[in-house]
Amino acid sequence: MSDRLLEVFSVGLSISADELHDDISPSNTTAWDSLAAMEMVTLIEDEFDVRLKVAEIMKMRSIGLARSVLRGKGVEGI
Amino acid sequence: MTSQPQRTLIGLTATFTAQPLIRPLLAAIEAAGGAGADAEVVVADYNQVHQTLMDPGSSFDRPPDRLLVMWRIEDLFGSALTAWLVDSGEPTELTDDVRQLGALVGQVAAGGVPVVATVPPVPHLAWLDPLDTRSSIRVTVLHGQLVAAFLDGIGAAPVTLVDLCALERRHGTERAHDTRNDLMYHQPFTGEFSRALGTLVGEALAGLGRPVPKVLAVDADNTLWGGIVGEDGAAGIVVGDSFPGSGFRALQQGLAYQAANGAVLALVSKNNESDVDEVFDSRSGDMVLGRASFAARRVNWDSKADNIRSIADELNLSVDSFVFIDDNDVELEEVRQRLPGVRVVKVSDEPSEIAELTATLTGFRFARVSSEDRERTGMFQVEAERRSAAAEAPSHADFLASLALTVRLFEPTEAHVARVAQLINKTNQFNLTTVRRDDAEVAALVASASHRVYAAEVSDRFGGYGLVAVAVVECGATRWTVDTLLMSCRVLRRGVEDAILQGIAEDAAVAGASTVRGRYRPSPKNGQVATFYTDRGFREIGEGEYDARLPLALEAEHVTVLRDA
Repeated sequence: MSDRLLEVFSVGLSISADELHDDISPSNTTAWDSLAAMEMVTLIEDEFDVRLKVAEIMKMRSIGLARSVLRGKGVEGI
Repeated sequence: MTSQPQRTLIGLTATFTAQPLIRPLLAAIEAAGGAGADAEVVVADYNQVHQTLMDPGSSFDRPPDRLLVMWRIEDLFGSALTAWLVDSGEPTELTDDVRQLGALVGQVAAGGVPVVATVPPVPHLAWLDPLDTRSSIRVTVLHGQLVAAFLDGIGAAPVTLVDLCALERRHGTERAHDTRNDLMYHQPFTGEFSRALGTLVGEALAGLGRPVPKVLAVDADNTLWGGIVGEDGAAGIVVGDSFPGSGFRALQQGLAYQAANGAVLALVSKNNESDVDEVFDSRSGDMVLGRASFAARRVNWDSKADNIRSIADELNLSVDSFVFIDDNDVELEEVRQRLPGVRVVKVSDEPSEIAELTATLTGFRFARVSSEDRERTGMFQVEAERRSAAAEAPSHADFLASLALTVRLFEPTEAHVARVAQLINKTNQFNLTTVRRDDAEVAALVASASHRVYAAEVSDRFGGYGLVAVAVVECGATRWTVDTLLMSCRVLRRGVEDAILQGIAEDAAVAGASTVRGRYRPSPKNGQVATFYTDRGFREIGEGEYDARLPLALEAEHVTVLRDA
């Protein structure tokens, strides 16, 4: 089964999901710029039907951290 | 190595962060197909709208092929808007600024780049209760004044407008605006509204220069009214103010609206003509449309596909410009199969869908309306009178002489660009080369020193046809080449084409040229002009190229030609 969160980041970063993992962050991925970050907020909110607060967005400094923020909001199966 | 053809560059300049619009915008353009489907979008630096408009090339890697301009009132006038709300007073400075912005947008469009601009949304202020009546009324009035000033600034320039404000209203402001995104990214919209807006703007960009539907061919029974007049009688059919006739009345109102804005209505009904006429006579108080609303009608028992084709012939239009509206699946299917170019629309039996049917004809959405369009139905009716004069006249030459035909041949100005481009893009039959050009390209040719653009307005004793013919001529020192020569089929076979070509030849001679060259490029629809130049004594000197020595002597005696001094 594919990882829904990696699929979302794949769209937002225009990088194949195969090449993504939880350590991917703005510091090691040039595609993750401020515009991509903005777009991924919308993509994540649509995909997981959640509303992110600014503080939560600020915590998402890697795919793994995004995963833990979403788990903390009760998103299941990721 | 072969060089890649350059993709269509759409420049986007906005007073807010517009990147989330790109994906849906490109998807809409791709879905529309055709030219520009390979477009790329480049976004100018944030909030540099004025700078971009003053020098479009400076904001992108190269000059954009299309420009998309989006702005919000609160972005342009953050603190001034607040001050106006708090202090009250006349918003003269704001309207002046917005008028200037409109003028800049118009200037880019007139200068050679097709422009799509959005109408701004009603200002959204996070700290203001949107239902606070004291301010909401003022904000609503201000918005109207600023939109009017923007349009005033654009003037007659060929700008395609997309009503972002109307989209937001339809979508619901609460579901469209996102204060968090606005604060964090200066990106004011929710994801779902960004998708809706990007799609609408993409459709507008894809539609630039595309023809809009011209003829709405409508059935009568269970379309214009409920019931079957042949069975229920004129008194028994359902139409009017009360339910369920109100749904049909709304559909008629929608048709009347489209007719007032340039569409041509045709009636196609399987009925006894006297029954239909009785409805127009005895139920006129319940109906919006009357006999005179229809430029053509076929009330008979023939196939509707045949009737539509015969109307197309009568109006000198291609069936591709027809929309056929009927409730009967068999009729719709026959037209769909036999006339695949016709768009078919089914009238359902659900009153709300009947009432909203004309609202779903989105082919008209981004059309810019010229004054000729509004008068078109009237012109077609006068055409019917001309035809009956032709039937009575003893010979074609006598008929032409009896017309008192006048051709005003002139060089169009900026104000004519939209109409000239419209003709260039929709004329198929009398069109020697079928070179399509958008508003910006026409504007550039009008301004060009090496080309001359000609337009002709035609009238006769029955009335005016408006601007119906266009020529584009490359003016060389010794040879003038007619690159484009086209004419609306409404003035065919009257010598108008000879008057225009003669006028061009005379100008060429005055300018010192010795030769006029004509071009013919065959298309599926322009076979009728294949021998246009050879018929007029031009010598074929190559594939589709024809030369004639000056002077020419083509003018038909029955045509009075007026030239501007």
